[in-house]
Amino acid sequence: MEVVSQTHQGMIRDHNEDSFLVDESLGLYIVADGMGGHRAGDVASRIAVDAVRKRLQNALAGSPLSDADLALEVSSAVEFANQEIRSAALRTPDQKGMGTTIVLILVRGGKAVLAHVGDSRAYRWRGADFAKLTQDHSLLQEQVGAGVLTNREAKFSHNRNLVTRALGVEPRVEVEVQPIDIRQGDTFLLCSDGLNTMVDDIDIHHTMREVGANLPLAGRCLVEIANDNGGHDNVTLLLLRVNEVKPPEEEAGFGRRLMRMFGL
Amino acid sequence: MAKLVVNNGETLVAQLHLDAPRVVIGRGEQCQIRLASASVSKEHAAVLSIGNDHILEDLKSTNGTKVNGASVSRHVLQNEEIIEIGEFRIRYMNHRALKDMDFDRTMIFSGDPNLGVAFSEDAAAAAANTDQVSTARAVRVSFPLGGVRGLKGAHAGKEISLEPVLRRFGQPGRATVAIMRRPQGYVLMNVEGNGAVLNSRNVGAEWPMLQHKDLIEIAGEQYTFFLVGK
Repeated sequence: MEVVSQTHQGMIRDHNEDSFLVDESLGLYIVADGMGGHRAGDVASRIAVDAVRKRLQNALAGSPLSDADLALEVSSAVEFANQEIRSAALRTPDQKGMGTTIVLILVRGGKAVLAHVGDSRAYRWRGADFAKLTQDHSLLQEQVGAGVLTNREAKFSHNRNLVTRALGVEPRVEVEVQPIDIRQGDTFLLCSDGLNTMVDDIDIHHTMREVGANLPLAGRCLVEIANDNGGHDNVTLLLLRVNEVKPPEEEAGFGRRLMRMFGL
Repeated sequence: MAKLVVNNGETLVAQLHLDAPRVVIGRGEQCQIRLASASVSKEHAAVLSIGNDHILEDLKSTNGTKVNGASVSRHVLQNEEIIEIGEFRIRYMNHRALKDMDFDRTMIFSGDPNLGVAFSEDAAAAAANTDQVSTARAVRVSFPLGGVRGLKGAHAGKEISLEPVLRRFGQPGRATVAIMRRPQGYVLMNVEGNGAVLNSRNVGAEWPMLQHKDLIEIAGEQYTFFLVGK
């Protein structure tokens, strides 16, 4: 996996409330976009990525999981992050009401799971095909979904900053989890809304098509374009390119070798 | 708080704060804003409140609804816009609905999104064709515009507009450069390999700003850069 990460506070904000995680040994890649006063947004997004990693580290330590179990573990890790943010907010009055979005991909052997809450997004390029893999949990997306606004009219809406789901808000959170297939040559983009509210999907696609051969450069260009267009928000992105898909047997084999080491 | 201010010529007719989910404007008695004039339909137009938005919808009125002089069937209102219905002019005032992108931080929306209110019949059909929300706005139109003329290689004798945000030249997989359109002008960068030459100088890892009549070379191709209007 070739991985590129970029984060920038943008041209307007005085600090960066986004957090991200790249854990290649776990195969875990996360972007989280925090919100809340008194700089609590950065706290919430940091707690989220740390909690998800901690939880998945434990869950994945044993033998390989089935697709269904993998999705369940991802979901419960994100729910755990929700509780961790809420407990932290209860301990510190300044952090009351903090929350965060999250989008993550977990890659295990030939399998992958995508999960998100809020308006952080995942995109995929496969050959010439460009796909947005996540639907925002935002009022604007609901408006378009309900036919109140067309996609074109949505550009003039003032609801772009209203998310309908986030971590840290309610005791329970509905995590959208989808198993995804990965193939050699696939490129994934995980990003905070600071990218896609400043750079049109068409331009994100165009940038990847023109300079995607150089992944680090593509990441840098996307951030520069967001800032050239005004940079109204923090922008964080991860670009993941699948160089080889590990066959699942290899992982099972590793598990068996491990069991043999322990004399099981 | 958003409000509508209704005028007929110099005369103030009505003022209404938009705190209801749906406000109907028309000649009928049940309307929240009543405009007594034959040019106004019984139920002429409605304003829906959804989150920070107020959406104006023409209710298939006989004489139509205009915003800033243009007929609309549905329109996301922007601060200080003027709605025209018959001889009435209705000013929309809402400091949370500025035309420029709002600087508001991401916030959590809770409560009733008010999506159940009545919408025009074609709304559902429109929704069926739209599943992706793209919120970015095009600001690039205000950036300087330029292009290149091919002198040697694949594009020799051709003129290529550099309207898009980025454009790649050279031999894909081997040696390519990109020209990026920015607020100050255009920059050149190596994409694959280190073969970019600008006015006989290697570009290396820099992103030099292109000047009118610059000479660009990559993988045996040659281009001159130009700025439109120079």
